[in-house]
Amino acid sequence: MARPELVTPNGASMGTRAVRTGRHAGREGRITGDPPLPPPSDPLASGVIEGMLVGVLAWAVLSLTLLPALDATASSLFPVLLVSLCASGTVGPGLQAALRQRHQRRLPAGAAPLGRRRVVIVGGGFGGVSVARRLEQLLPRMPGLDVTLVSRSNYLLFTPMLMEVAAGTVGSGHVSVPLRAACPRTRFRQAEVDSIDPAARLVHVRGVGGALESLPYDHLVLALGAVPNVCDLPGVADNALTLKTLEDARRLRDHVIGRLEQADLEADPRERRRWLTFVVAGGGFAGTEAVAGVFDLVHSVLSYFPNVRRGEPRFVLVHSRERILPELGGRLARYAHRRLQDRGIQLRLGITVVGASQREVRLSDGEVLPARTLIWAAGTRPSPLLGALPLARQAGAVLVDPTLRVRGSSDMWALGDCARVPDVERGGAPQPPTAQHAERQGKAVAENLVAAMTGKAPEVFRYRGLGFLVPLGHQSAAAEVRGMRFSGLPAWLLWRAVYLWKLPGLEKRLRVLLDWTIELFFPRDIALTAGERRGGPDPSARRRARQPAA
Amino acid sequence: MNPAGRSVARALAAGAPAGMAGGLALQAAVGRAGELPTVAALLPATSWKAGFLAHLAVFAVLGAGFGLLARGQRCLPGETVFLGLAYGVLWWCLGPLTLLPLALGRTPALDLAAAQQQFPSLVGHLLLGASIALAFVILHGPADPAAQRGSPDAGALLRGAAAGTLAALLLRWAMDGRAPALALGPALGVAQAALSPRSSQGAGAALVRGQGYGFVAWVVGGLTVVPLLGGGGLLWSLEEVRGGFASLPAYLLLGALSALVLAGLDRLAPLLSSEHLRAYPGATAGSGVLAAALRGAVAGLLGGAAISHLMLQSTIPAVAARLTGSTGLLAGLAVNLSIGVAIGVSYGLLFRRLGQDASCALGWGLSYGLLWWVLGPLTLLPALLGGEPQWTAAAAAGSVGALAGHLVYGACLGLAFHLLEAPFGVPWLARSPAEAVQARRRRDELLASTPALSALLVAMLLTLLVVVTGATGSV
Repeated sequence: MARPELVTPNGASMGTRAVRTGRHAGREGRITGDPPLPPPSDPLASGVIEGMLVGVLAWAVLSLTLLPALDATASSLFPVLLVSLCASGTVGPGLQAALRQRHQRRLPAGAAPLGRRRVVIVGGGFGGVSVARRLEQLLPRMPGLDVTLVSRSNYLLFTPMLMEVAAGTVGSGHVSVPLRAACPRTRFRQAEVDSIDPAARLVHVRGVGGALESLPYDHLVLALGAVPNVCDLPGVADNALTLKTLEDARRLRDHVIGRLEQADLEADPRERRRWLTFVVAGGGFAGTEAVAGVFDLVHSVLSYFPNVRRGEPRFVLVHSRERILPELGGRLARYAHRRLQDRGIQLRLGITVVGASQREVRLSDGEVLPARTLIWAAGTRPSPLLGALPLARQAGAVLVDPTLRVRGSSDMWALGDCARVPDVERGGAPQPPTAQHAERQGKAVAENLVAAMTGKAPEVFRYRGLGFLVPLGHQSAAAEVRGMRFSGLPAWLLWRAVYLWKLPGLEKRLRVLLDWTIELFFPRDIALTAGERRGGPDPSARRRARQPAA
Repeated sequence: MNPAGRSVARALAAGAPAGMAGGLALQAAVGRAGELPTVAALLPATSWKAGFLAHLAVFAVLGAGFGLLARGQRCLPGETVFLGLAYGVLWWCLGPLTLLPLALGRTPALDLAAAQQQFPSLVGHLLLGASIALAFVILHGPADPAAQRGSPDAGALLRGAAAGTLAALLLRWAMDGRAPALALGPALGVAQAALSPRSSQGAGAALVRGQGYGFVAWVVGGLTVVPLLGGGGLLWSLEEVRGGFASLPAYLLLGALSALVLAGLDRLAPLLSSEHLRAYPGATAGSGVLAAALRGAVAGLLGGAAISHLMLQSTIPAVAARLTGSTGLLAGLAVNLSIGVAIGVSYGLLFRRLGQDASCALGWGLSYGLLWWVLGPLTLLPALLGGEPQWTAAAAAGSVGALAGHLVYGACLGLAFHLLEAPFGVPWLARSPAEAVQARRRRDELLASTPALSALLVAMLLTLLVVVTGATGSV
């Protein structure tokens, strides 16, 4: 399949010596629709004039050093300047030619020392983007590198703030960064990965319009992420809401507000209670944040619904273990437990969700919760696309060695949620699937990949996480940073400060900051957008859960 | 005829009449003062008509020479005028200082005394060069079709007038009686907008060009047209120029300030008008600003360290004592380095992505250093010590060492910033042919500006040295 040529800034294709003539320039002009480029400036005259700059500098240095030492008079400055200008003007053309030749040599014009190396990154999440950005930084040292990023969406979703979108405190467009802006020197394909052919070193992708394209690679980076894992529980895939994408967040917000609209019109108290019961499955970071966020959303807009009494909405967090937030230390987890309970959130520990319908949620202890809302945060699994690859896997995740190279492969690398990355500091236990780990792994993959291309040994990836932050609802959070524990308002302020800082791009930071400021003075918006009109959870949830992330 | 031949013929066809037009402009100015250009001494004046025709022929040759030089440069119109000034200085060195003495049987006089004696001739040659270049621009047109496309419209000229007016008002407010006449502001702003149509080069390039326009305005307006309109003679003698030296920094700052305001208005224009957004480069606010400031700070620190020995012998210790209350060496060094870092940060913000290669970066750095010589030792440092700006030839003569220091500082700043920025500021990998062409166009546009701005810097420096050296008898 035809693929655009790699083109250098001096207008030459790879493998073609740059020829800068008026005829070529005219052709280049037609490429952009601009007027044709005229021939470049006369190098002789330019060289003489620019050489004089060196003369000016030489004169200034002489004026400060040699002339005072020789006790020269002020009147000698003028002839010295003339001599400096004449001398430097004479050597200027040669000097300029040498400088520009050196500059041209650094550009990938045909005989690049390493030849053309194609890196394809599949997945536009934290891991994939981190690889691309680090490779862009390494490009000056690797001028023959051609990096392509393939992602289903054309933006990087800042998932730590996804619940803020669902809770209506941050605009949905403010937590997404366009990939073309985030990785300006990387080729970008908005496409879904159809299949990967490791033998032929080809990635087959399907573009937005449905057209198939094959991308050849020399090195492939798998950063496909994970999809919600509903474990084939009856009714869950069709009736549960997930929180992995921006569309999920918008849908959850609309769903919650839609339930309040329905409850406000419902005369039967039992049915109203069903509308107003919100069940969250999973007491990890995502589930805890979700139940706290939904609680805040409901209570912040309740005044708009006069028929719903303040005590009527019911929030249930179902978790399979004996305590929530197992990643946090016991003290902070107990604090979070207490905090949620104090707010009126019911915690059902040691049990699981075993099924769901549009009207109820069934638990493993036999209890049936009358609820029209189930939010699924009880686990993810690596992208199903990996199942078609002849790679060693464990629990669906690709096994990689400590340098992040896929086991048994020399040209494939994997990271993030789709890989089982061994933590060499903890005896090879898998590293947690967090954004901060994916980011660091991305940088390491980029550096190791370049090392492998240049014949150097890739380095073992070591990273000790900075800690964990989890919001627990209105102005409250729990945080553990480098062994230090924070809770309540200080932790909540820390959470906001850290994630505002980590949000890519000044523009997005300002927008989120403005959203948070507006939230201080105005109630949350309850306008329903398109998602809710479809009536609850996305009917294609099951299909999406089985699709690859990229 | 092949394309190269056609290009030469076109340059000659435009250059020769441009030379005659420049000669007539010079003749008109000098004629008012009852003098003749020095080149007249070379020609036997048999009759008025023959002498006039001979003069025209000489100027036509000069113009043709300029045409051949400028033909090969892809400059904006304003930059061609800067080349013209440098061309004038070149012919001043070749003519009155070299060929004329040789023709009269003497040795070339390339020393300061002869140069100062020939100072009126230097001003005449500057005026001649500017006139030839302006006429050439009109007759020949730009070498780059993109420059043609970017020719100014009424809105741009209006913004130029507004920028010039605002700059003149600001300067008048800050400098009181030292600022040029208020009417010069809009005139200069309009000239800038007309001769340097908006390009994607940014505020730093505009600042350097603005300084150049200030110099041109000083030669054409301050020394020539304004005195003639005022009914007096030309202010071309060395004594008169030294006496009115305050006008030179005033014009330089007016030009720089006006260009900076104009660049700002150009960026704001999409907010104020319905002009199509296609005419503007992509929004870059926030992208890489912090990194550029940090790189500028590091480069400024290096530049400040390079000239710290010199600066500690100047007014810096006194400024440090006034600011910190300490007279120690460390306080002086800290203040000097702080100033270096502050200027470096401003350089980073203004000149980011402009240094396409080392010579380009050297040009920006030296020009910025010259501007800070005017702003620093002559203006701000005296003000920080509680005094008035020292815009006198004597003070400038005492600051020639500082001028050299600022040039060294500027060179270090420009080169260090380039080295820090180069790995991240150059689009090494173009993702498409169109992007590659755009990258090349921007690079060529910047590289094409460098010779003209460098030539102008050389012309300014030579003129400055001739004016100020020996104004107080010592440096």
